[in-house]
Amino acid sequence: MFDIQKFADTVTSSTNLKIEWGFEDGDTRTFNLPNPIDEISSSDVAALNTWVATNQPIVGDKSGSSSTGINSAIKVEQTKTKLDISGE
Amino acid sequence: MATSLKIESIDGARNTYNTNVNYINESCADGTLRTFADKLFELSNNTLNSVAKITTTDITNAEPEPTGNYALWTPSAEFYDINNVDFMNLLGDGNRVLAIDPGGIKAINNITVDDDMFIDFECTLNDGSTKTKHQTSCAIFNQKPGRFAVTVEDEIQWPSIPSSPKYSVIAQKIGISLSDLAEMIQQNKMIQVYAQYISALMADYDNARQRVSYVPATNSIRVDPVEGVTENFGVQLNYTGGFYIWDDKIGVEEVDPNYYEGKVLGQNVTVILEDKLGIFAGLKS
Repeated sequence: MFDIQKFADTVTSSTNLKIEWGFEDGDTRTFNLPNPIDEISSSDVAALNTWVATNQPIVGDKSGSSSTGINSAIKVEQTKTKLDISGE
Repeated sequence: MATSLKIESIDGARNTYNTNVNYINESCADGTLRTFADKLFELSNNTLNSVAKITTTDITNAEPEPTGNYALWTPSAEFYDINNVDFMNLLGDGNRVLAIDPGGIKAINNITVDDDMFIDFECTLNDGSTKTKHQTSCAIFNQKPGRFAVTVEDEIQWPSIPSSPKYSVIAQKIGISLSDLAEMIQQNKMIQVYAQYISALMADYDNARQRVSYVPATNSIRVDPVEGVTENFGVQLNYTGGFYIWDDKIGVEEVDPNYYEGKVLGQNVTVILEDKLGIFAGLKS
């Protein structure tokens, strides 16, 4: 059994690039790319978008429809603090 | 059937990250998928470590649903090292959890099941390194009676010719020649191979289940020989395997595979058979 207090107030942080893909049937899907480069630009995302549109590596999960491209790409920085829940 | 991509990457501190991209276009060549992973990680500071294609298919189990729960999990995993809490929690939900990995894993540190019913193993490999498993694997997670999903995860570069003794065991079990098995592998039909293999195993385990009974008068769990079954399991068990009783009060105990009767001390008791592939079948009392 681990000690809850041992983890109290532990702070961790992470950064992800949250990419939302659109599909022809109107469906969307999001996944997180870990540790995006610092100087990421819209042209970087556009280049990926172009490659995906040409090669169609992903399909929609409802009807297998083609990808219409990237709807949005958002850099998300997240900080987690584990709280002391021992009550002492 | 659905195909997804599991991309493992590492950061500067050599922490491992898994990125799953679900619903990959099945008509895409492996090289295209690999390039897709490369393109994605051009936007990341992480270094690409491996790319695995995961294929999942649903299989309808024509046999009546067994009344108990049972489980297989990776061979060569030290049973004592498996996270029993997670494992029993999965069983406790009334689910049947099956997982096969033909090799490479020494111990499982953590088991998680994601929304797509994939089982992720955080594990220690035989070389002592600890990482999320990305070698060949097959996992089944059953949630609905009579229906279960098979997940095969393999490296993009699947060996074209079976060279491991495990292929002989699989071929024998599903009743095909080694050359036929090689042809199926070359045709990228490992999912069918595993499905047939698991179906054969399930029949064995359903038979084996008949050997296990609870004796209320003595509060004991008892395992009896069953005609036509004992010999098969005896042969297998004498080959490499073992026969274990897991009790949440006393832990694991290896017992005589041909007959056993012992006191039940805990709330949860699991009878485990290990076949010659080193795959365990747990029969929960």
